[in-house]
Amino acid sequence: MLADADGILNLFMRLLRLVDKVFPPKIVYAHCDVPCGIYDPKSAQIAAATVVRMVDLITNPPIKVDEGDNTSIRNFHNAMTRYVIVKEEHAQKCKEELLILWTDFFKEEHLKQFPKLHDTFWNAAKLCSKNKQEVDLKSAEDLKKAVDEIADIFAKAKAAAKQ
Amino acid sequence: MEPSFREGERVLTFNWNKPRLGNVIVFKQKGKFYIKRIELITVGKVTVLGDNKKLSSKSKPVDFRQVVGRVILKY
Repeated sequence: MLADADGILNLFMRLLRLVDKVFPPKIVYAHCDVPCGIYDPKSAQIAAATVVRMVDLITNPPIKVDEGDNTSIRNFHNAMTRYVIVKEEHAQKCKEELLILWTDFFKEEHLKQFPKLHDTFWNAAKLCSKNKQEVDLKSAEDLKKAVDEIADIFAKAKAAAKQ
Repeated sequence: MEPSFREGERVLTFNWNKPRLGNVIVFKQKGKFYIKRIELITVGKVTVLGDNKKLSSKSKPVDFRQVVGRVILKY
């Protein structure tokens, strides 16, 4: 009985698909441009620059530790922990901001203009993860460069849309 | 609207009765159709929100007259 109901539903869905060929369905969007989708790569750029700054601070800490002074040791560890937390948070924020641009702003038609778009985003997202896992100035600078490249692509895509 | 609805899926809407809280609706604003879930119903308006909270974090008011219909089938 249940199988019959499934069969009827399947048949109905196939019929709907057939109807769609004659009367194509309208496109429905899940996200509106205003107010929930104001796209801007600035947030990702700031987050990437913050990652670079934090890696720099972890590598060359501005405060000196006095091994014989417990307060100094505690303050040093406190400062380093804060740098690591901020690096972690901003690498994650950067990844999230990039994913919004990648999946929401950029559309199929942009691939014609920027054939390496997917690779660029993929590499940038991977660099966000790498910067969470490691403390490496080169990886941080690579991330900043990758995000700046995406911001450049974004600006070109916006300019092309205005023409 | 992930995970309930993914890109490329098709939906059938029904507009013979008023949508209820929790229903997924299609509505039209400024010439574009949108799909969202009702989280609040007030006089003459519904407030909608997307299921994918990471990408759709802001509620949106929609007039009843802008509602195209309630989604009754995904195919």
